[in-house]
Amino acid sequence: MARPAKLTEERMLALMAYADGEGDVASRAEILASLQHDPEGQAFVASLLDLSPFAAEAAAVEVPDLSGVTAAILAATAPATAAEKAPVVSAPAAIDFAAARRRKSGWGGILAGGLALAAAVALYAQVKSGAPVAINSANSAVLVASAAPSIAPLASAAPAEPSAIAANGPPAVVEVNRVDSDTPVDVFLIPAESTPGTSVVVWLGDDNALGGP
Amino acid sequence: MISHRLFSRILPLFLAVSPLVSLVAAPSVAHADPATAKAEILVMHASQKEKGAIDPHIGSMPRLKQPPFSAYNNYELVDRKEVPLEIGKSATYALPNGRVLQLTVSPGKSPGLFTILASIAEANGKAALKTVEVSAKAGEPFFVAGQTYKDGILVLGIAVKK
Repeated sequence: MARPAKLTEERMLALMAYADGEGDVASRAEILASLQHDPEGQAFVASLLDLSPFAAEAAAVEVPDLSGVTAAILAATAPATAAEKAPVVSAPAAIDFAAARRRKSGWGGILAGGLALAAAVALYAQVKSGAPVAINSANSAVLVASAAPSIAPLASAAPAEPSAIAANGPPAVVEVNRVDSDTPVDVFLIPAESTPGTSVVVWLGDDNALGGP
Repeated sequence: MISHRLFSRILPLFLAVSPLVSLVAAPSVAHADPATAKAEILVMHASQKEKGAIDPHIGSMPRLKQPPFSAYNNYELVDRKEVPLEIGKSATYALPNGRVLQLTVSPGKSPGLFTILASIAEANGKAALKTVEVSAKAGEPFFVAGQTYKDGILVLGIAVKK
C-alpha cells in the first residue's frame, strides 16, 4: 500500500485548532497564509469542517496506511505526574473508561485522548479521563486506548497535552465504557455513521492476524 | 380564597385543557424503553489483496477506506443478520470462525441510547473477548475487528435499534 505524503501531527493539531476557531488573530492569519500553498492542509481543514462520512470520502486526500502503527497509548488512570515518574505501568486486563471518566469528572468532562488523522477524515478522541495520551505521530489513526493483559505497558510514553480540539469535538454517539479481554485490545475512535460524532472500533489482537492497524 | 364563582369558571377550563395536557405528556410515555430491540450484525472479511476491493453487497461504507480499517484493502460481506433482542437478556450469534458473539442490551442513560454488552467466546467456551461495554445511540454501529479469519480478519459491525 502506498504511503502518501502526510501532515505531521503538529501541523494537524494546528489546523484542527484553526478549524475550531481557536487562536488569536495573528496565529490564525499565519495558518491561513500557510494554507494557501498546502492543498493537503486545505483538504484536511475541509474534512474537519464537515465530518459526514460521505463528505470525508469526497475529500481528495489519500489515506495513509497503518502498517507502521506501533503505539498510541492512553494512561487511562494515571495522572500526568505519575506517568512521568513511572513511565511503565502494567496494563490491566480491563480498561474501564467509564470509571476513568468518573474519576476525572472534575477536569471538566471531556478531555482529549489524542488526534492523528487520516487526511480524509477527522477522528476525534474523546477520552474524558484527563490522563495523558501519547500518540505515534507517524500514524493517522486515533488509538485512544491499548491494553494487553500482562506485559504491555499502558503508559509508556511522555505525556502529551490534551487536545482542546478533541474537547470541543463532536459528541460521542457510541462510547466505550469498558473493555475486558485476555488478548491485547486497541480502541479507536472513528466518525459516526449517521450523525456528527464518534463511534468506536475495538480491535482485538488476535493470534495470527495480519498485524491489524 | 377562590370564590365559588371563580371556581366554577376554572373547572370547565381545567376539564377542557386536561385532555390537551395528556396529549402533550403522551410523548414521554412513548419514550419509555421498549422491552425488545434488535441488533443488526454485519460480518465482513477483511484481507490484503494486490487489487483490493470493497464488496458492493456491503453497501456504502466509506469508512472502510479510512483508518483503522484501511489496514486492509479488501472487504467481503460474509453475513448480515438481524438478531431480535429482549432487553436485559442475552442473545447469541454464531460467527463464521466458529466463535459465538453474545449480546446483552439494556436501556441507556437517556432515551434513544442503549448500553450494549458484547462478548466473544470460543466454541469451547473460552472467552476471546470477555466484555466490551458501549453506550450507543440507537442504530449507530460500533465495530469489533481483529479476529483471525481465513487470510485476514473479521470485522463485525453491530448496531442496536428499537
